[in-house]
Amino acid sequence: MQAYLVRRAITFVITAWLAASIAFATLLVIPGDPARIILGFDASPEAVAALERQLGLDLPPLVRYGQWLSDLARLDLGTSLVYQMPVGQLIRERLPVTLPLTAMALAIAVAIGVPLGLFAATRRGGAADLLAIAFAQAGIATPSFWLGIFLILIFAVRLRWLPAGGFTPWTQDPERTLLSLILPAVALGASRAASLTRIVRSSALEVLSADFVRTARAKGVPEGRVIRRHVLRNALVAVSTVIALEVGQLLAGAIIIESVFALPGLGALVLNAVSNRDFPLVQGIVICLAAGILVLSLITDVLYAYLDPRIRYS
Amino acid sequence: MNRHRWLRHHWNLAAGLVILGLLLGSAGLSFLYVPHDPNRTNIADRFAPPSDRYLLGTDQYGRDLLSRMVVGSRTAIRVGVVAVAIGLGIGLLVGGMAAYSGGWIDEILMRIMDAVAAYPPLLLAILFASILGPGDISGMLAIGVATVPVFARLTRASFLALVESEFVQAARAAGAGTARVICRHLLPNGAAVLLVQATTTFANALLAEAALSYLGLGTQPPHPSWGRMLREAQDFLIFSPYPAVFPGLAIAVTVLGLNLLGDGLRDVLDPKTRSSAARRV
Repeated sequence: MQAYLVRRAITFVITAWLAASIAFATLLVIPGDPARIILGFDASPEAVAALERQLGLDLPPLVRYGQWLSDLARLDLGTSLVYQMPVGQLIRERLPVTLPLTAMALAIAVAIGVPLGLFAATRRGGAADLLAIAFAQAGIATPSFWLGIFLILIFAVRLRWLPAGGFTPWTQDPERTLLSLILPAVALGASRAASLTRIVRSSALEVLSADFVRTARAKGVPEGRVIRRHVLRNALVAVSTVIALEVGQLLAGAIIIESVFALPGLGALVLNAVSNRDFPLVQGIVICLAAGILVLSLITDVLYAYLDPRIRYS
Repeated sequence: MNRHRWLRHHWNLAAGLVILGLLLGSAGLSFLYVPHDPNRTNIADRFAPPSDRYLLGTDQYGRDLLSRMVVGSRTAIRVGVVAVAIGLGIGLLVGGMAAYSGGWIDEILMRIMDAVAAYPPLLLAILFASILGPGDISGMLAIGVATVPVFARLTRASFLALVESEFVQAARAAGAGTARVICRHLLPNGAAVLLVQATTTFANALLAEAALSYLGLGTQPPHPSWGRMLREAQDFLIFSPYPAVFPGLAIAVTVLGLNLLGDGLRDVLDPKTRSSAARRV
């Protein structure tokens, strides 16, 4: 296990460094002069020169890269051009919106996807199975923002059960905050629920035809116990391997869903940054999300190795 | 196997082909004929429900929805094709090089692929849009680049498996050079997996482009694109739901068709799942 952990930690550091370097490299390939793009073409040469100094553009690229990397290692993501605040602080302020949204969507996806996939697998070829497959295919194909629009129309405009958008801070009225996150979480989680249904179904089908399941049944173990003890457990291992990937999808999807429901989260921040050409802010958010995904996949890999000894020794 | 049985086993392939045919057909036809000018506004007819004159109704400027959707399908196809071309082209090159060189070149290339894979396509697209400015070019580029790792890993894996196989060893022994081995033996045998992945990538590219256009970072107005149409329709939902229904339906059905096509192709092309597919029904 120790050798595996060391190996995995080394690849994590290398991958994280490379991923961050990609984000840095994109700033280098901006066509034209970044400072001029940010300030507009009628900016005075003095203002352009001042901004170039602030961005460090007057230094050679390699020096900038070294500086930027050492800042990053100290978790300093730089300063936003528009807000004139540390990027890290801006991101932290938005997390109370985006993280609960992502977590709720993930909970919805797991709560629907795992039981439905398991149920479909135990009724392979039957009407219930076909319905589950149809749900999975339709859910994967449906754009989350389209679903979101109709959730607003039905549950906010027509029925008036839930708010159509906007966000009340947690400190003011937590109950209202939770209510305002329900529709976005459903819109965001639906397609992930569909994809999890598919994954759980196919991995459960695999386990159901395994020898140890046949042995358990032959021993006279009740079917419910076979499903819980053997099939569900093994299917959950399969789920745990894709969870990092799913969270990555959810975080990226949250950017769109926050736009549909006018939520002031990371998505709104990054879209604002793009239209303001606030490069350090865009870069910081992108790196943060990619780093989050890498950390999650590190955690799931370690968990997986812990759960399944075959991984450790390969 | 008679035709009915074929259709029962491969209904997803058939359905996928029909939907893809409809998409390509309507896009092709749109160069010859569209019912109305997709960009002509007509305030008197705004929010018209579906009728003989406007088959799917009109939007907030009185523009014909059907015409806009048909012209928008061109955008969808262009984005999908370019994204797949970039992903497949670079992926083949990187994966092939990694498999063939082995050692530290393999290690470096695949670590870079891991790093690219850490970025969800949409995130990469946002990064590109902030640099190149909004437009369908940055969208296509980003989605293409984001799928390079998938194609590279698939190519590498299938090449590594094939290089060891006896028929490739035999070709080598018979004096076939690297280029010949790759072109005559490795590519044709690895093509099945890549083709299946290409259909899935096409579907994902379409979804991502719609999302980008919805966010205002993709196709720019007045050019019609399905995602953009949804954004505009959202503000007028109470007046008329049709402008929000049909473009979304077009995205969902197209993506569904491409995914079914991918599943169907996998069943047909991969002999290992073919037998289990036959057993399934």
